[in-house]
Amino acid sequence: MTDATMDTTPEAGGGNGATAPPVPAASPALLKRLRDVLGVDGVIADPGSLLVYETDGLTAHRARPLLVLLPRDTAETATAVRLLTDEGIPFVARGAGTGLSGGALAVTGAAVISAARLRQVLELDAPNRRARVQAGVVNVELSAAAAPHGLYYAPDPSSQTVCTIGGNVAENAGGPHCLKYGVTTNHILGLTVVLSDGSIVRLGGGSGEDTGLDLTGLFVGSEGTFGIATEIDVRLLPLPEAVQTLAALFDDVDDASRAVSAIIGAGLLPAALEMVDQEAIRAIEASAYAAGLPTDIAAALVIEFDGSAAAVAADAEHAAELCRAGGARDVQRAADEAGRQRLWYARKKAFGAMGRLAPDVLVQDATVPRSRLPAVLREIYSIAARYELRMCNMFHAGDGNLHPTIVFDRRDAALVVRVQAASREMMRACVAAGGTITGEHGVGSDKREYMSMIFSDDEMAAMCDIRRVFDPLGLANPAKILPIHVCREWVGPATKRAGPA
Amino acid sequence: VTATIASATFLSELQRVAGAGAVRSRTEADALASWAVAGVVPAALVEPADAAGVAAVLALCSDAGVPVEAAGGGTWLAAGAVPPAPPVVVSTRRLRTVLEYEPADLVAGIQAGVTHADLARELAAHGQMLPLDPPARDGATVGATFALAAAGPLRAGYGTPRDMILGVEIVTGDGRLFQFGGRVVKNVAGYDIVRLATGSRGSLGIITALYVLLRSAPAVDSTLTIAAGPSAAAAAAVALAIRDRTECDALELLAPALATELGGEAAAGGWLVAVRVRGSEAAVADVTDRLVALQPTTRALPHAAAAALWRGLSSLEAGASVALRLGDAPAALGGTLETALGLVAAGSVAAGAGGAGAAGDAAVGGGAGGWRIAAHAASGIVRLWRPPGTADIDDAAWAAALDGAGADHMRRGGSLHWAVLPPGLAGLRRDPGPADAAAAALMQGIARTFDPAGIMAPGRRGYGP
Repeated sequence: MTDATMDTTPEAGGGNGATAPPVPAASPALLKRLRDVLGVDGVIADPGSLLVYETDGLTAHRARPLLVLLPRDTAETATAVRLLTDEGIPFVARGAGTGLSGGALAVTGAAVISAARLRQVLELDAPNRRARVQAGVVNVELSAAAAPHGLYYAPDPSSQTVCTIGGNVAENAGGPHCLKYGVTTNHILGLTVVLSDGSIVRLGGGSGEDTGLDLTGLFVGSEGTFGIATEIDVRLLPLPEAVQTLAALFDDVDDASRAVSAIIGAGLLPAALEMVDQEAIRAIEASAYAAGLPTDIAAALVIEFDGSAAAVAADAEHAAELCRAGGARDVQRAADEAGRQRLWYARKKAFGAMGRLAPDVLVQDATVPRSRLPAVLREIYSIAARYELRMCNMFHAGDGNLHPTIVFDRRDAALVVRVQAASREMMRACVAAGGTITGEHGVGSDKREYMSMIFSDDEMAAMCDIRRVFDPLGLANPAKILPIHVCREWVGPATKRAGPA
Repeated sequence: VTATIASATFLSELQRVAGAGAVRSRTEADALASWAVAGVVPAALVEPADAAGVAAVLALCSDAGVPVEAAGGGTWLAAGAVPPAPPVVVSTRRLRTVLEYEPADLVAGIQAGVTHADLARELAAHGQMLPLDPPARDGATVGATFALAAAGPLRAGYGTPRDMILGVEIVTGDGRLFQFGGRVVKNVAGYDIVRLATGSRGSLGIITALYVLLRSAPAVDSTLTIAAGPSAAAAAAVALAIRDRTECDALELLAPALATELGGEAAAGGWLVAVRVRGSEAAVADVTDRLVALQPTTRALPHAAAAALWRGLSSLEAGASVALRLGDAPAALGGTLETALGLVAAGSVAAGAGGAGAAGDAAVGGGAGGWRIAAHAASGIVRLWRPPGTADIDDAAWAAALDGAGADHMRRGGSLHWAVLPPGLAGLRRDPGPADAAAAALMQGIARTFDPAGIMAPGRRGYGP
């Protein structure tokens, strides 16, 4: 993230200098109709209660919604959407609000449609290893529901104790275990979605092979700009029989990042392969999530294998040897499940621990080819040093998905300028190395202006065209993903492009 | 349209934009015959030398309203519906450069016309592989496999093309050249047009290059077989029990005739479960022990026999005169097999004489010229192939069976896809299309944004015009 350390007020239209069309006020008649459908508890309109919805996990952005609606099923969602869009009111789908790109913010003063009351696991089909859930089911709750059947839901974003499957679908969320198991889209079989005209469409999800275009794949990661997914068919996996987790401790970040490639190059496929650097380890060890890692090491790799007991033991030993040969000071093995949980807590709560260091935290999300990690990491540390910033790295090393995390205080205007400049340089370095601007957090409000680093205007216009198929009026989560200048072209009266009529 | 394509002006324009020697017209009828699209000889075959050439050709065809069929090596042109007019076939087989391959990243960037054989050779030199084994034919290109989202037995262990694609370069139906995704393994920048293109069957445009995710080649590659007896339902239960207790790369169930043909004595005349287990020595030994404990009849197939089995299974489709897939939930495999056996029986001419059940048993049991049947047991997909020579298929009886049992199967949520359907049997086609009409309308709307003139695979898209 980036320029987004500024407040994103509705008046500013998302901080992009665009003048968003004024959102109509919610008339008393509309509020009554919405309450008739959703119940009194299903409509939040008083300014005090709306405060909670001003921000998501990326606290630097703020925008207060017009109102917040809490439907209980697909039909209620569809009715609520139609009531809103009939009056030209845009809407933004919101799961738990843990997103890190400002994607769930009502930047144009839209209505928020929350998944907070869509909490049911509708069907758990254990023999076929699939489930159908409402969008507001929390990630870990799904795995908990599947556990008695020996199954679990694989994608595990760090926020999994609170984030929702619907939010995961909107962002195509990742997590540490994507290295072996893939990201959200690899685990979504079908969707029931509500479009901005209030229509309900089933995408994919048949028990056989799907026919036609992969609209499920297209919808996943569309960040609420196509509509709202209300019911989600997910693939479940058998719980691994055995798990082993290692912490390899390095005195040199370069050695650690080279060990990542050595492990993959040896043909090993860890379930997860994460890196945590010294600054992050110190923050963790000073927090309630201390895992007992030494604070004088330069970096630790957290390496996890899962599968059959025999295979896991052999693979873990092989990885440990590679780390030692690659300069690791020590390779520790989580002795039991409690030790393993401590390591994962340390990794997953590191972001929160950084929050204790300063009022504001800025986390980037670029992905680079794994072989470029050592060089790119060196450059990122050098950029942070040049701008005299406090930064830590804890990231999905096996996937090349970096999360440089800068702590700062946004009341210090000069510091904010340095943070922005450094962020931009880091992003450029990642793109120059063949990477992309976001690996799992999404573009949202935050990275819109970075899109042109990797896409041509024509490519983005093609995306606008697709969006218009789902949402002709542009009322589903407007002012997200695509830069303003592209969408201007999109809504403009004529284009010179040989595009669709 | 036909007149347009035949005109000397259009052909000379094609030659101009595609490059010298890249166009064959109907004056070379022999050269075009093997590129027939569902039996229709194309108006021309164009083989551009680069992506810019593909873009120029599509822009020209789009302006002229000339229909286009995308092709790689021409392996799958026989599949699908009959085109309303002879199309221009645009093949990517001259785009055969590996653009970028960094083994440490387990990622390769390749042009769409790179063949599976060439890629496998290059990857093997670095101990890596693209874990896809779609129905095989010489010259089959990787680009076509992704355009069709085609997979084979390895889908049990690695998934399908949508799980392996990282980036695409695609020329839209109106000739715009775009790149989406990239060469990194996690990427959520913008809409996932990479997955939209995968399996789009040339209906949006032509994929000219792609970035794919690779895997390390396993240290040990072992194939185990289990004789599963004479009953389809019992054999399905055996396969599903294996799925529940082990991790394997492939889990195939072969009907008796095919089992005997490919597995020899291992099948003991009945159904055969073939399990491919790959990985480290420890992992393979572990799965083998479990299988033996679960099924004492488990035996390891010698390496050469195993290779022959997998090669034989993957080559059935290209040689078949009719091929189709029935899909349903894996736990419903027994029922899906029954449906498949019923269709085979009903479509056999012998059904009139000996009754449907007897004919089905005969075909499955290895009657001469009979159908071959196998299932991706872990995915619930049953595949049926008919060897060349379809004289003894009773079209009317089969159409009735498709309308009856086939339709019931689809009403239950199952799927039916044709892989090969000869023109003479085109009347048997029952294309279900997407279950949700609104979803089909969205697909058509998306196709219009890529291909406003509607020239890509008209009548053959599977989701409407």
